[in-house]
Amino acid sequence: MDDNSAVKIADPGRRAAAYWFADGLPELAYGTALAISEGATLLLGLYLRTLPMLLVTIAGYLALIVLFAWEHSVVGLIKARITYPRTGYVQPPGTDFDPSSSVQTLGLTPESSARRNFSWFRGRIVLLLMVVPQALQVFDQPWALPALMVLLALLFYFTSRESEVPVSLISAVLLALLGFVPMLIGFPLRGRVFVAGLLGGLWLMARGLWKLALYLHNHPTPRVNAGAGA
Amino acid sequence: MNPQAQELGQLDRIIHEPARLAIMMILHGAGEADFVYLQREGGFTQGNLSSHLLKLEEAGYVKIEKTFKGRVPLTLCRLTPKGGDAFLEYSRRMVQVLQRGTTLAKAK
Repeated sequence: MDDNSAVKIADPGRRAAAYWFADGLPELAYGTALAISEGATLLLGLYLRTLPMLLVTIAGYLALIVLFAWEHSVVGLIKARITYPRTGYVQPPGTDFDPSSSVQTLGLTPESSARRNFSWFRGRIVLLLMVVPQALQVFDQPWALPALMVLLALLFYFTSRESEVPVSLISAVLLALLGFVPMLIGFPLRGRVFVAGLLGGLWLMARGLWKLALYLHNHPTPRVNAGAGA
Repeated sequence: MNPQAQELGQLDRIIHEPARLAIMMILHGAGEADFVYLQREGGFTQGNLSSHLLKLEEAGYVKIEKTFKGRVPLTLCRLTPKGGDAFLEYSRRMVQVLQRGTTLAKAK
């Protein structure tokens, strides 16, 4: 599904940021939290009005809040068992790029400025998947959801090419196509906001799982723990 | 003495070695990284990386710390403030030398 664009990044800081996403775990974590919270809200709003579902919804949103606050710790705990023994540890990326920390390193062109280890993943992809679907409340039309998903897919595809989490063409097409599923199965209009969030969460989960499977396939468990080297 | 040659002679010899320069660049961009990550990123063998890290540590440019993430033992490496300054100074000098070289080449 996804290509390996991260390996084409030359800057050490950007490579380190891309490395955080190499195993798909951050996408899997955010996708799961998003799918649970939006899915539970959808079920609660449309079909069920029982207390346990309310608790599941609250738990889903809490999981998202925890992830936003402690992503590096939460995902890092899983990475400590899966990623670090296989391919090593590097400092997790920050979420803001500080231009003042940029310095010119080797090279004669302005583009050779060193960039720090930071990530736009949460701001560009996770937040957009949560916030943009709210626009559906304005458009009371069946085509609004597919149009929104196509728009998101285009946005992600074109804005992420140079980022640490590039969205491949296949992945973007998949997201766009997901938007047509509720229309095809005749899903009621009033739950579309949460359907969009749910589909976005499932899309992130699928990306994360695919990347994790590829990562585990390409990096089998090391026989000797080389992490204690030097 | 040729001023360019003089400038080249003033470059920090510890950093100027390609493997150590690669280590410094990776650590400068990434923050802290462990031994396995450095080995993969730089394409080093264990022994090669160990010896270069030791030289950088002796110069006070890199701090090496044995620690744990979860239950996994890691050998964490990061630039010291002295190492960061030395790297920036090296970069500045090298850029100057290269820029002068380019200007001279264009003049010909």
